[in-house]
Amino acid sequence: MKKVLGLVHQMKNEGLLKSITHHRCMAAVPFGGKYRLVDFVLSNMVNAGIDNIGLVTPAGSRSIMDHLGGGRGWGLDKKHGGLVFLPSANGRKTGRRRIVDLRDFYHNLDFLENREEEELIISGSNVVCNIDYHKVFQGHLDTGADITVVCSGGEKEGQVFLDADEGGRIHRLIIGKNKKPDTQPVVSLDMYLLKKELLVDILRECADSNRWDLIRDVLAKRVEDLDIRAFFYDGYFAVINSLASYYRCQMELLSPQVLQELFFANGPICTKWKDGPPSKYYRTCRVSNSLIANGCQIAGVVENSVVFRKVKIEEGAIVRNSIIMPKVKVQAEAYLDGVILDKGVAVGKGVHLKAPKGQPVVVERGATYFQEGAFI
Amino acid sequence: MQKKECIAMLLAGGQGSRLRGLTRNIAKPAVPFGGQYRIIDFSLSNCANSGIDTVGVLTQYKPQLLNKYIGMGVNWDLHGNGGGVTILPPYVGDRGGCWYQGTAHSVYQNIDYIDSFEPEHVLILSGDHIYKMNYEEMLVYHRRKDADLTISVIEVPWEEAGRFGIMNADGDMRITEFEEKPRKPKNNLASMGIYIFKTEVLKTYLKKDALDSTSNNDFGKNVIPRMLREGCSIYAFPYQGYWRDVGTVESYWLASMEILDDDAKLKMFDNDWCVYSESTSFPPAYFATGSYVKNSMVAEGCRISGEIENSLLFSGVKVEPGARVKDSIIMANVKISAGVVIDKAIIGEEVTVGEGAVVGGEYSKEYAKVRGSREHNITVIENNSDIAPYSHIGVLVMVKKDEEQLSGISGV
Repeated sequence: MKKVLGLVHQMKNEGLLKSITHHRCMAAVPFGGKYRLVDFVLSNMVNAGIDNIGLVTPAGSRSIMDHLGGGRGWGLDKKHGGLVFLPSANGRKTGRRRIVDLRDFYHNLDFLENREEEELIISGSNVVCNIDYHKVFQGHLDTGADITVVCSGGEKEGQVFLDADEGGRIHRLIIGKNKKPDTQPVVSLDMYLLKKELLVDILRECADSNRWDLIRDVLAKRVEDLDIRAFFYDGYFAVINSLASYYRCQMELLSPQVLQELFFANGPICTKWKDGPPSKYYRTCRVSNSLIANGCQIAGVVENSVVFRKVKIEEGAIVRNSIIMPKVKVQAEAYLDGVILDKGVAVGKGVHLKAPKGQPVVVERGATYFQEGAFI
Repeated sequence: MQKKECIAMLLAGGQGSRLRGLTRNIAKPAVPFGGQYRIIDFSLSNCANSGIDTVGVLTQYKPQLLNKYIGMGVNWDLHGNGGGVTILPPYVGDRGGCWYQGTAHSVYQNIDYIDSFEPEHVLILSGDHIYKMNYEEMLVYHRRKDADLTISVIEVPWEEAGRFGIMNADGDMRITEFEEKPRKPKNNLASMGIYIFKTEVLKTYLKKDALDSTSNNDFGKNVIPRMLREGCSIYAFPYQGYWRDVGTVESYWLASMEILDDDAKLKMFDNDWCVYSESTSFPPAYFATGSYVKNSMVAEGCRISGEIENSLLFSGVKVEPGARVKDSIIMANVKISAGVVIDKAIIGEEVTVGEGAVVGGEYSKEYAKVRGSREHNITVIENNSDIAPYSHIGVLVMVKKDEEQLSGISGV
């Protein structure tokens, strides 16, 4: 799909995942034992042959810049095209929360105009799925729609819901986490296909009206005069827009079917290249229903958990129903249940951290717990 | 070209026939090792970590995979302006060309490459050793001794000294005598096959060697003995760390098992001296409910439902319920079906082991008894083999897909 330009927008998300997003944009949120959320959208694009991608980078986005580098991990370090960072229009100011902030694209209008691609895929970076964009693009061409919105049926959490008729034509957009339409909920996967020409027109209109949200100010208002259609994706997906969905989706990865569908059935999900040995499992370990990345040293018990790289779990420690980010150290006899430990957290000998059932607790990056018998 | 103080020439052309089926289709340096690496990663990572950014890799035997793997050296951060990794295969010039005849000859054929960097010293390395070594320390030593040649040596057990090239040195570590595989060794300092030459001395002796029609064109057998005879100053650099030559199936298997020791001497988790390798795009390893893993290393992309003990699993291995893997090395993307038993075996990449098959264990012990060789205690299954369900396999080397299964199968 050489003729398609990929654009990745950034949601304004301060604090959406509590302390996890205090110092990271949504795209850079660690996920699934070795990834960051942006890896899914980038890999999906690259797997479909889209290798010109503009990615909106908000101010204070060192973690995302460091992660993406020149795009090598995705094969995007190219002489022609590849990965281009589009500085956000907003600086550090947190204005009104827009779902798809078109000011960021208007701010980079020259980039859009100079690219030769005529077609666009715009995607957010907080949807976890492995989608074949070839099929989506073909569907978009077949219907001749002005704008195609990728969506899925089902009861899952989302940000924007759609009312579509049998032909797929969208007549109404409903915004808000819990405002599902009464009939057959259809959730948007925050992916939009349209001609570049149309986006440029829209951007100029937005500049005139000073209203900048693709969803609220454009799609929701123009359902009649634009032909906006739904493309139904029936694979596994999760929209990560709350701590609950962040935790739940990673627990879903522990299902062999989801694992197969997300990582083995279609193209690979790529991420930044990292070095390190395979994980070592000591004689004293017990591991069950868990995902464990490379570079870990596991001597304790790990159950129903996702463990990132370079984690050390000592003998006698028990980790259950938890998400353990890179370089965490869990000392002997510690007990963890239902917690999300951010990067580099240290849990001392015999320390207990247990979250109430169904309410995962986040432990901030670099925090240390050494007091014996401490509880959250 | 930018002038370099020291460049490395990495000898990676050997066949490694004593690794049996592991090197049927790939050069020895490309053989996977340690659950994540290929053997050559250790030497290349040592170069990168030692600040040697210019490496010529001499290839000859089955080089395709090795060439592709090395590429521009990106995996070791050896790419970039100036030096980098260059693959140096045998070539034809205006006066003809030939295969590399020996280690010295291969470097002799590439004197032009060396000259293009005008280095003062040339480091000669083998691509088939497992170790972490700072070549810079050796270079400092070499310069301090103002040696024509410095040879890295390691103490080996006395009873094994007869298998190595043994260096006899004076009190200043100047080498007085070199004995290749001596029957009665006078000491136990073995050459590690790592040399630093003054470039001019190297060139002089490579030319002399090339003109000698009786020479085997080998550094150890010909070039170094000649330099000793002619009074060059050759010093031994004593190396204290972990070093293994993994040239045989047994040494390969033993070195792999040593990594699993709780107090392993090869520090794989040491962040200061990282061994680099190719990255894979697999998700983390998944352990199903009911799986069992003990004293093992398991790489990303594995999906484990069975039992793993004292074993090394490379990426993308699938172990189905009821399968048992013990004392074994399982290379990338192997599928081990339900009920399989694998005991003391090395399974090559992309192998499928059919349901209920038994590989190694008692079957190879029987075969080893017949052959009278401890070596054959270890079963080797070649890459891309397909092992039929419920078959019992002892020591065979090759079970090609769509081919008759070869000898070594103990039919039961």
